[in-house]
Amino acid sequence: MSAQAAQIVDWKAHLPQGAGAEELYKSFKEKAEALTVKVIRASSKEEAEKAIVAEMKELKIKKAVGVPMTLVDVQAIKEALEREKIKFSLELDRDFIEQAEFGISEFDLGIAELGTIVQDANSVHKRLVSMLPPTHLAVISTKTIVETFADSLEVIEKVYNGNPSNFLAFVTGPSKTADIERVLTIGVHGPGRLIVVCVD
Amino acid sequence: MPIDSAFKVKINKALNDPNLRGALGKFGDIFPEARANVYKGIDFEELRGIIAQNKANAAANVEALANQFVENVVKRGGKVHRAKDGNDVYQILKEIAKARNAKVCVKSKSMASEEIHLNHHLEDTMQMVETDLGEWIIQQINEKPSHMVMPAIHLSKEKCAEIFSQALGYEVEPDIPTMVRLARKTLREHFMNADVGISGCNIAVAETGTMVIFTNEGNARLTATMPPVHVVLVGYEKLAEKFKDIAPIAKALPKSATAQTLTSYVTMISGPAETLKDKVGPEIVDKELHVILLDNGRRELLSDPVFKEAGQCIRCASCLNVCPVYQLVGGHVFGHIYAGGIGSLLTAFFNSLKDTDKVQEMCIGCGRCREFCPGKIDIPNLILEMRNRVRKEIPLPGMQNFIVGTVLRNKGLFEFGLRQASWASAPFTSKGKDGNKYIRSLPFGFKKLADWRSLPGFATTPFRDKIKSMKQEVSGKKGKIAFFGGCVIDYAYPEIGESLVRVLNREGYEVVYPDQTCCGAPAVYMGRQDVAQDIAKQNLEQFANDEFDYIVSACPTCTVALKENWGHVLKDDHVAKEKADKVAAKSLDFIKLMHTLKKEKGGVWEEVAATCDVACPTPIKVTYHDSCHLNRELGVKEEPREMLKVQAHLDFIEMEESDRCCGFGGSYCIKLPEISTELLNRKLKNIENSQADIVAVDCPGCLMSLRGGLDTKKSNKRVFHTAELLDGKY
Repeated sequence: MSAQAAQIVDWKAHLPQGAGAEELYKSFKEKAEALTVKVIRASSKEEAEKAIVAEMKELKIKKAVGVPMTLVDVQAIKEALEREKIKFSLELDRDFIEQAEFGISEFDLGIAELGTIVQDANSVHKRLVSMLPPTHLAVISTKTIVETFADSLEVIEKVYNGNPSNFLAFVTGPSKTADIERVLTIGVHGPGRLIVVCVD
Repeated sequence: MPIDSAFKVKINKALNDPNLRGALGKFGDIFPEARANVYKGIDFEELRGIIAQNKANAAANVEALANQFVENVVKRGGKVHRAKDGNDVYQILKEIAKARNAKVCVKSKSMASEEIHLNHHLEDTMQMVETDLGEWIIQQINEKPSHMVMPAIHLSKEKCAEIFSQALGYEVEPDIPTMVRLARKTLREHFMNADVGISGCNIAVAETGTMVIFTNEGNARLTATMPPVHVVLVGYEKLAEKFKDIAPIAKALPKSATAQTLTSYVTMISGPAETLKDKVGPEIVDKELHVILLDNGRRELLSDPVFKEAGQCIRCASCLNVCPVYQLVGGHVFGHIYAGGIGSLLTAFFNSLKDTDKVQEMCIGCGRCREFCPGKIDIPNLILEMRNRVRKEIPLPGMQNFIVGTVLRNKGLFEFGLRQASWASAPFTSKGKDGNKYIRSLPFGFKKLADWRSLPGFATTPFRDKIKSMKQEVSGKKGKIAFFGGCVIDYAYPEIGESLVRVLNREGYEVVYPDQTCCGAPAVYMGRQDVAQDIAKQNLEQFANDEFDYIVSACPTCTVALKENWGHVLKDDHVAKEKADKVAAKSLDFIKLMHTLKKEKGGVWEEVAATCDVACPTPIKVTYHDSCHLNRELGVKEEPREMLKVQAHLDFIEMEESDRCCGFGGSYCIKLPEISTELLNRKLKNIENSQADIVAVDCPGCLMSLRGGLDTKKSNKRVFHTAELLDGKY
């Protein structure tokens, strides 16, 4: 296992003043929704877990994958999903992840002005889960929504003390292309559907 | 060889390609508004000022930044290779592939790899798979991108379906979502099997060793994730000093490129991230991360005293999206590998002067790209510099070279030629609907000059003779103004000069016409600054005279010559430069001068013309066509409108796309009439739709072009110079 994977980073300690403010959440939601992202607000861990299960049920998902998380209890989610006969794997099994219809992972920051979510994606597990399945559900803490892209860079500089993580992913809406006749088409190589659950 | 018949065939093919015209035309038309929407609330001038400054600083410190970047990448566990050219890149990649026994390579978009024809040179080593949808499509038919951001914009969905059918071995319907789904499926297999991933890089941060990649499809993330080896191809011009310098580029690039607030994915790689052992895992190992730092002419570009400015490019391609010429012909004609105006500059360094020779000739110099460039690059003027450099290596063909090098340079010969033109063209001249003389067709090899729009008949008496007999009655004389007439007014439209004299007389100034020759602009536009130097000196002898309060021209191209070109071409000749600066300081275009004089009177606008020549019970509807040089080079936009609006006899209305180039472009319309015709027709359509009776212009070149076009179309609209309108001659 690489050195960086084991490193535990504390994002909350380095957020700018005012991060997570109500108007930042509002702007985040508005910008993300304009990009077809579904934004769900959860006041508690349990509410978030319920919302995640509900989303998968609604989409009639049979196979889903996830990674270990801190904002929600993935074991509780797994048990709830199993009751719904939804297969949910937390294993780093490349081919299973590729076959899955739904992936869930945790993101570290939100950007209000853009509806963007940011993830330290040094973990290959996180990357596969957030890239390969056609739907991705990202869990973020409402408190970590900062105002601007430049703010997010400042946080990153502080969090990693000037040595940014090997792989940082900024995600703004679903995967898309307009390469044929400039017609916007959703869902090329990455997920065509993006859901963000903001946990208070 | 400058533009030749083979190149003309390419141009005509592009002009007659409905797919190309449809796709590019549509995008070009919607882009400015879409872009303006995403930039709402953002101070673009401030933003591009920051980007330009950061990029210029990075260029000035490129060697130090490169060293710092390399050091940081190595410190984090990446391997760095410096490549002086394409050959180096092929060798480095072949070795990487050999060490891994690699068979399949997935590639996410990289213009640098296109520039060195990477796929072609590596296809014997590995299967090279482009994974950006547009790139994958053109790879199937062995084409080069026609746009830096949208490589397959020149292909229709029907053509794409054919390509898909051919590549997949079964019939694919021309349905875009279906094709995108099939591309996902097909390329996913390649991602799962690939041994090596190659990607480009938009920003390389020296401070942290971070490489930033912007994509929408997500192929760069997969390229950087799935294979155990990731190679990033980084051009020296991508270096940025600080991590925080990413922010301004991230703010501008997606907005200027595709009118998006941000691309779907921004990937920042600062070291070898985790990967699955032997592609499948589940054991986790560190990725093998290689960085190839590519020179291939970049260091020469970044250290060039003139062209280093082109290094401020962030490859958004908004200059292409707003270029009226690119919109007509696309990047396979207006481009070598990098397309459009900026492409013609980069090509000279990344490829060769020969490769940019014809491409740079496509620029009409309208200056629209400069207003949009987030790197604040003066693309049109750099192209003129490039033309000058190209023409030193590759001269113009004999006749053109003789005209610009000998006739234009020689004052007497030039005047003689123009005077002869008057009687020589007389037999082909007849009267138009508006009462002016036109040449509608010319015999022999000159046919192309007049068959798409009528030319003006030459005046029997040039202005230089006419002014001698003009009685100038100036009451309450305030001073003396020297008039630089320019060839078009002098020999084709002396009446504009006469109006100018009368209007300025009324303002209290005597107008004199010092001995003069061509302003030298044609020489500059044809890449002969050496000729322009001689011409400028001849004119300066007469114009650098303290007795003139102002120097006025009624041709914005001449005004640009007086205000900018003369000083520029004579920058190394101190004595002449001093004179040129003196002239530049008091030179104004006619309408700007009128605006200034009126403003001096306390800023109260008053009518200039007391009456008009024809009885007009109701005000005449007049619209305004902006000359590119006046509007974008001299920054005069509102002044003519303000002057026209206060005229009681005129009812001013704006037309659509009033600032879009009319296609004249001086020698451009002789060099590339095919392009000029298309540009002119669009302008004429806007004029017809405007409901105006009169089109006001400030440039006699535009006037010539518009009158000629309207005459050919048998239109009732009339075109006047503002000097004539302010003189009541309409």
